[in-house]
Amino acid sequence: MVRVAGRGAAVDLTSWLLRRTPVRPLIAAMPGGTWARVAVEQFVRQNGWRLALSPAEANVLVVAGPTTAEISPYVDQVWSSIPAPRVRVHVMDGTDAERALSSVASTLHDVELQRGEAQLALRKEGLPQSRHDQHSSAHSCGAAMHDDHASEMSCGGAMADEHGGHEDHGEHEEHGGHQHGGREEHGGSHQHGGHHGHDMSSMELPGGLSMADRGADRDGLTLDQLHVPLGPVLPDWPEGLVVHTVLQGDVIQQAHVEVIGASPAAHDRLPLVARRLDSAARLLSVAGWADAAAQARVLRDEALTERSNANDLNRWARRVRRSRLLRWSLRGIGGALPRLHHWLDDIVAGRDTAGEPAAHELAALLTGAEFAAARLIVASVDPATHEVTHHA
Amino acid sequence: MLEVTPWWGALLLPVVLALFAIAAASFDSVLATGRGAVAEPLRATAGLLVQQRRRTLAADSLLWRGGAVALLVAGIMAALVIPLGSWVVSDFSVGVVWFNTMEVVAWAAVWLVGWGANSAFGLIGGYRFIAQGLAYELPHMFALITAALGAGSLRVADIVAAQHDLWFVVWMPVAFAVYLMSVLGMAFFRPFDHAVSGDAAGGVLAELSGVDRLVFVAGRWLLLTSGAAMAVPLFLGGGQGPLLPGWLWSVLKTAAVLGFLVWVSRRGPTVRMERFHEIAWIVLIPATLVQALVVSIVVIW
Amino acid sequence: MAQVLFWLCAIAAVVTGIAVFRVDSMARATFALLASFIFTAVTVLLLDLAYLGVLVILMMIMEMVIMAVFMIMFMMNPAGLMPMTMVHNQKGSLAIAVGTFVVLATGVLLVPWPGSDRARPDDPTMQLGEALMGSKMLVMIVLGLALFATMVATVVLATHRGRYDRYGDRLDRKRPDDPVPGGIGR
Repeated sequence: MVRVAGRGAAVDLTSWLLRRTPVRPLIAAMPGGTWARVAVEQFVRQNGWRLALSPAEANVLVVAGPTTAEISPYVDQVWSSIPAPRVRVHVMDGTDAERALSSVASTLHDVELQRGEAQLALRKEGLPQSRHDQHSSAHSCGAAMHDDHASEMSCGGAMADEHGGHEDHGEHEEHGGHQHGGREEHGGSHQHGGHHGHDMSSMELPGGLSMADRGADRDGLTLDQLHVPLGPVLPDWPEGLVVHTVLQGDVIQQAHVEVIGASPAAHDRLPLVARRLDSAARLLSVAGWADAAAQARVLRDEALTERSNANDLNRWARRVRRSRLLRWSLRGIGGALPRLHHWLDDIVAGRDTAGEPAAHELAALLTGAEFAAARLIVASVDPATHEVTHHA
Repeated sequence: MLEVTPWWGALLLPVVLALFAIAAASFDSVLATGRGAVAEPLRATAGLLVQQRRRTLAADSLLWRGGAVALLVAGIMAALVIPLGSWVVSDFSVGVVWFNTMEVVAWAAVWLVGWGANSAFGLIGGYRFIAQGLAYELPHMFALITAALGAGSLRVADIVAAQHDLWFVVWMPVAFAVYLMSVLGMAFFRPFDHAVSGDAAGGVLAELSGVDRLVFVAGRWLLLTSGAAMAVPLFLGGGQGPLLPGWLWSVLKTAAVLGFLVWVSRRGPTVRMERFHEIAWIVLIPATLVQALVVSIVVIW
Repeated sequence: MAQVLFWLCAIAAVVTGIAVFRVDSMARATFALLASFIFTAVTVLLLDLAYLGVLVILMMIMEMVIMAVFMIMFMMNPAGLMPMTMVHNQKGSLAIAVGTFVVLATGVLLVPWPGSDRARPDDPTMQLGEALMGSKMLVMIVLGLALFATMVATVVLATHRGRYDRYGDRLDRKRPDDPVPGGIGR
């Protein structure tokens, strides 16, 4: 009797907490889905939601734009790494957003539904059980599927290796509270034989994952290299772009740029001023100036509905241009600052002087850059990915 | 001058800190998305309590989750020596060093959380924080030492007492400014938030969900709160002030410092360490040394 | 109470010290060592040496984190770093360890430690500071400078980029040519 009452109280508490859960959408922006993304961002802002930075933080996955067979595995992968409670919605185009998103909160707060989702998330998130699986499963947030090194990616990349030894010591893990079973099963099945020495190059790890390579770094030391794909689902990242990087520390040794999921039919460029404001918002957001980025998005949406106020635009542009901290922060980052200033000129003057570089020009700019600089460079180039298909 | 609270003071301390932290987080939400977001931190807490905990392949769970707990514990322990008016939980003879030690725990904690998840983004975030620590820590220590020099003691009670006539902020402005900056740094709060910034999908936070995320984020806010609260006894005369009771002065001053930090942190882009390191070592360390020199000369005079 | 705490910390320090060599990841080894140092620091705190005890914790956290970073940064694999043994040259190291322990332990037992009936000073930190700094201030200053000079010299010797790489052969570049520009622009 007492026990039943206790469980009832627990259910009540869970649903009480669940009903108060704020919506945290992660936008998976597809090539050709710019209008959809803009509409989603607008809806998010009007409802006072905050965007998630990674699948782990998100509880709503919003797929914005048309999906193709090429890109949908990436989206599924991101979805599978979002913990419950969670909701997945698809916004096809700009007119669709209101309809698709208005029911998100109630779905998210539905206890019965989310209980089922927890079962599903639990099963889906199960980590790979065999070597075969490892190669087909993979990455989520911002991390592409088929990496040369079969890296096991979660958010931008859990690494390509396995640590079978730890489970055997039985000295850690508070397993009790965990809902997911994947790791335990995994650890048990890979008893690594004996210890390896310090020289670990070219060795295969327990679990069949390959170890990082080594290579000379910019200071002349021989350091491990890691193959980390960036994109296509990353916040403030060009739609459909995947950059395959070889990282040493956070320095990009090699970069290989690819655009996936572009559907040739989609022509969805925003008008110039809105487009430039959108790009600037992304760059400011990557640079970590959330307030200026948010303001740019408001101005963008005003420009799209022809409600632009020249004074507001000028004031915002002046504030961004005059920020000494921003200039100091972007100086010497692969031409990011001049490109931003060109955008500001375009926004104020309303005509195109900046032009748009194509995605394949990125690789040269990214090689040798640190990770943070690379993100800024990509955001400052903001290549038009909807027209391009492949660049090897 | 300070009186040590009975044992239950130690139980009350986390509650008081949490109230400050929640208020600061609410203020931050309001600044970000408008007045409707007052309850956002509480709602986010509710959401994290029912969210599944994320697991990653080959994570080192002990170190990963342990790091988050260490951050939370350090945020609270740092406040043991901070007086509220005339009450303090522990009037430790080396209170300033204790405070410094607890906030250095963040170095280990943040790096562990970034490393333990076995994720490239987490790892990048973790290393970013170590670089940041190396940049802010020395100027921060010199700022602390300057306040201790002014009082001739490492005991917080003595430092407060030494400001009876003149607050330290008046004749140690450089140390005060550096201290506030380093509080933002040690709590990896904007603009020193590169360890958890969006460009690396949340960096150290990238793989954290559910209770683990709650513990880590709460620890970060508590650390910021403790840092802001410590500015009051170090530079702003503690609970001293006219008319109002001491505890109220402490509360008001802490709220003002915390509010200022939250507000000012939104005013510009993230400060990356490849830029800030030069400033820290070439400008801030000499500046704090000169400040300490001036203070020592005044003290000896 | 203090007795119980002492023994708890002493045993924990030894256990975590042993764990350093039993775990198979460099991060765990590092943080087991850190735990050992912290337990040791608590025993120092029990001797009422507040400053020394807290300082041990402070310094050890910073040192261990830097050490972990240096050890692991050459190997980019986080968490699931390849299992590896923390022990090399087992027989030799075992002999050295046992020898050191025996020497120190006999030292503890055989040395005629001075006793004192005088009351303990109110402020051991102050006493320690005066003992270290009072009559030997000049020595300490010279020592500090020498240490600092060593650090600077080591860094200068280790770096492979000098001012000619940064400012050109004629040192006529206005802004240095660095792989990553710094924050001051000089």
